[in-house]
Amino acid sequence: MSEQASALDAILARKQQTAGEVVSVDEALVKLVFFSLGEQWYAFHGENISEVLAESEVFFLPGCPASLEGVINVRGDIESVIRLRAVLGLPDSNGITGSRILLGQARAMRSGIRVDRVEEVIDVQESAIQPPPHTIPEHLRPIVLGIVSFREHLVHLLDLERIFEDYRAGLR
Amino acid sequence: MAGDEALDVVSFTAGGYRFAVEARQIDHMLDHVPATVMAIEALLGQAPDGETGPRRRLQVGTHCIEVGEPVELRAVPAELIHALPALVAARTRLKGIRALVLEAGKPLLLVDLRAVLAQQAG
Repeated sequence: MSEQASALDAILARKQQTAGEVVSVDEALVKLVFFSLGEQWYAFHGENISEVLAESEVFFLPGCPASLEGVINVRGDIESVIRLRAVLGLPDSNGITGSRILLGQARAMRSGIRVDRVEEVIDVQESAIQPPPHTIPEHLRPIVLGIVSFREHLVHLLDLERIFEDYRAGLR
Repeated sequence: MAGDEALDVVSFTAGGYRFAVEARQIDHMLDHVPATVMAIEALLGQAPDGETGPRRRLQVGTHCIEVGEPVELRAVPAELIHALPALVAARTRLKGIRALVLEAGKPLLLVDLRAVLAQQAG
């Protein structure tokens, strides 16, 4: 009996939760590309990401910082590849397999961006993007546009244009 | 014909990596060792890597530049020559890098040696 009640409670709780998530069909949707670096999830605006590359050979170039992995040939176009972990000041990912390169574009700049995993590409409601909290690390503040709650993760939505500009200027 | 367009370059190695310079920038190759020689690695701002392979000397204006073997005169098809990606151009520590060539899976960096020498003199 108590088991039945418990199961019913769970069902009702789920129904209530679902009912609370009223979706406004009129609200603007924003495409986001979710990815992870270790346990932390991040996202870029979908309009800034043209491709997700799985197995591109990266050619090392001498004289570049460690955060600049090299260049790739994308159907005849040569693009740089930056390691987002290094750009964000995170330690190297030792032994992570299945990493991906996002091909990013912001204004006139294009580059590949190495990430650990691509989690999802999905439309979210614009209102789901909340302003960044004051608790995020200081070095991330200039490049975090907002926070999105997605699949039990608090996702940092990153400003790719600012990342590219800062990187080009040697600030990251 | 645009498809046949090519750039004559002299390619060489520096610090274990492949570089090239437009052939018209090179006056000739020297057989002897002059009193004053500049190592290409120092000129480009490359960290010395202890490479001890065979070297050749190129005369560029009044300067003698020592480069690593193999030294080759060759034509690079224009379609293989690419401008440096913006972030590479901004962040490379090497001097005078103008473009890159990807051929046979290996990058070849095109250098403007005369510009580097002029910058150094200025």
